[in-house]
Amino acid sequence: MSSHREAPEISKDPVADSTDVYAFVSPDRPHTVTLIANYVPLQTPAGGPNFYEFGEDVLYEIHIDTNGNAEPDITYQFRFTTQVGNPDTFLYNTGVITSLSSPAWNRKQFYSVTRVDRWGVHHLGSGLASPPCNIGPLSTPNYATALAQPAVHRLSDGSKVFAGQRAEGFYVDLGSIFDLLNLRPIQELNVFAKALGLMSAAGVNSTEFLNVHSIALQVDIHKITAHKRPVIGVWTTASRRRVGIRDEHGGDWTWSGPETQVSRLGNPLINEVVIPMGKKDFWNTQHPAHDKQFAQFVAHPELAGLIAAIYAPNFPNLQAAVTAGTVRADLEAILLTGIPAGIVPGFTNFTGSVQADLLRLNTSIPPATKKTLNPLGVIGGDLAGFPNGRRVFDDVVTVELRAIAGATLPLVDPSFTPDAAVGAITDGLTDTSPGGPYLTHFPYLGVPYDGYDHPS
Amino acid sequence: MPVPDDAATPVIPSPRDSRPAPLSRRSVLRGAASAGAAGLAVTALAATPALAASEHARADSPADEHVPDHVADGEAVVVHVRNVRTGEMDVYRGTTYARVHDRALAARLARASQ
Repeated sequence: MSSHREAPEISKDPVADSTDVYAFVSPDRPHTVTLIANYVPLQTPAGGPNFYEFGEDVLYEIHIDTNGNAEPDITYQFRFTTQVGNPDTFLYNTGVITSLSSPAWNRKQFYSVTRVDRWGVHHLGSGLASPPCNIGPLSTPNYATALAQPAVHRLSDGSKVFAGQRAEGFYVDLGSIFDLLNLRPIQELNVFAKALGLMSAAGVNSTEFLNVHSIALQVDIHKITAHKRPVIGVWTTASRRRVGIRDEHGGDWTWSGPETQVSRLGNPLINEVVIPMGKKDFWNTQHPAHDKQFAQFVAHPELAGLIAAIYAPNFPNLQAAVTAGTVRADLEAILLTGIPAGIVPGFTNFTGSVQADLLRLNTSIPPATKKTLNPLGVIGGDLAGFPNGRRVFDDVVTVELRAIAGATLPLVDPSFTPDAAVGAITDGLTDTSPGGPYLTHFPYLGVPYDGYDHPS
Repeated sequence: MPVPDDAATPVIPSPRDSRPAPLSRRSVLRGAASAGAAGLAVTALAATPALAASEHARADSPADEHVPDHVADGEAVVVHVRNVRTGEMDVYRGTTYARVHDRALAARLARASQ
């Protein structure tokens, strides 16, 4: 998936596993940018008795590069603490949770927000309450208004913040993609599925009715951009202390040493389907400024060859490009440097020559209108969408699959003609595939699914 | 609801600004000796004299038992002996660590791990 359980080590450490990053000019407050980093993947809503939460022993960060060197010029840090009201009960809640201060809520989480920038370290808030998980209509009634909305806090610099459970907004047919890339809508073209006589079918959203934990921040644009540089690069990291020693009873830990990075995420699907197995864990520990060492996997993506082979003979031009060893400068631009001016009319999110996996957002591009909005983003003519940052509803799976299949290669090589089948590539899902609606306001991801009704 | 702090005043150092602490050989020795080593990764609760007494009595002079001011009460010092023969060790305390080379100390820790 976008980055859910995408590497062997982090798949065993869900509270530190970054799953998606979003960055977009807020459609309802266009003088601001909304940044979202999701963690704790694939939450079944019926998660009792121990419902999902952030890690107290994890440092969560959202980084912003404002000058194109792939180093963080601004970092927002989030640290969580847990308070147990009554340790003598097994219950997460002993009654109805009516508010964030409800004594019936037995396991609360609070967090602090710190901004680190060239001027120093600034505490923007502490003691901020996360909402409880959405348990069910008896335990967490009026979840959206009584629990989630009050958990949107105003920080001391005027920014908004929310950290807590949300409905998963990312949609993907994981079952088909990792079953030999058998995209259901075009599986009659898949050499393996064709042999079995399988015909076109609708996509299945693997993340439907699952939840995730979000850290969302809404900041004035001028607070996260440099003078006359509207393009920012965004990524998230999770870090753990270098040393942890479990006590002899197995319950308490002693932590020591500096934090070390265990997870990171900028563009969707990079560590998922671009970085090879043997380097995935290493990739998670690296800083974007060092991503040149991974550039070969973007320039010559394994997935392009797989698409050409598995859907042969429908991608002859892609196969020829793969065979010729064509450097995918289009993918390098989209994923590693941003798209320079002059390639897509009226658009650039180029940050310079430093190759780094950053989610690049040109903050001077206004939000889409009803007329221009397209979940396919820039390749769909909507300059406010991915890869110009990423909105919660953008169809990044289709965009990246089509790009890797050759749809964007003509942008840098006009002699290349994309194969006709490129336009048919999709996992069959759209922004209506998630089980519930997105919000039109902060924090934009939908109300988490409750455990009583999901699964049903 | 938030309890906002002063947004303009830097208050604490960033973890990313951490530098190796000025750990002396003696403070490492004290931490290591007081732990009752488990393997060659040794953790110590500094300023816990009872834990340290027997080992210290054998190895250090009374003057060496002074706990450095930069080590807080109850603070853990963790030593990872990377290579006993070269004496290469990583010493962790708080949010810092230091790379130390001390063959004699590494050998003592190895003996303590028996």
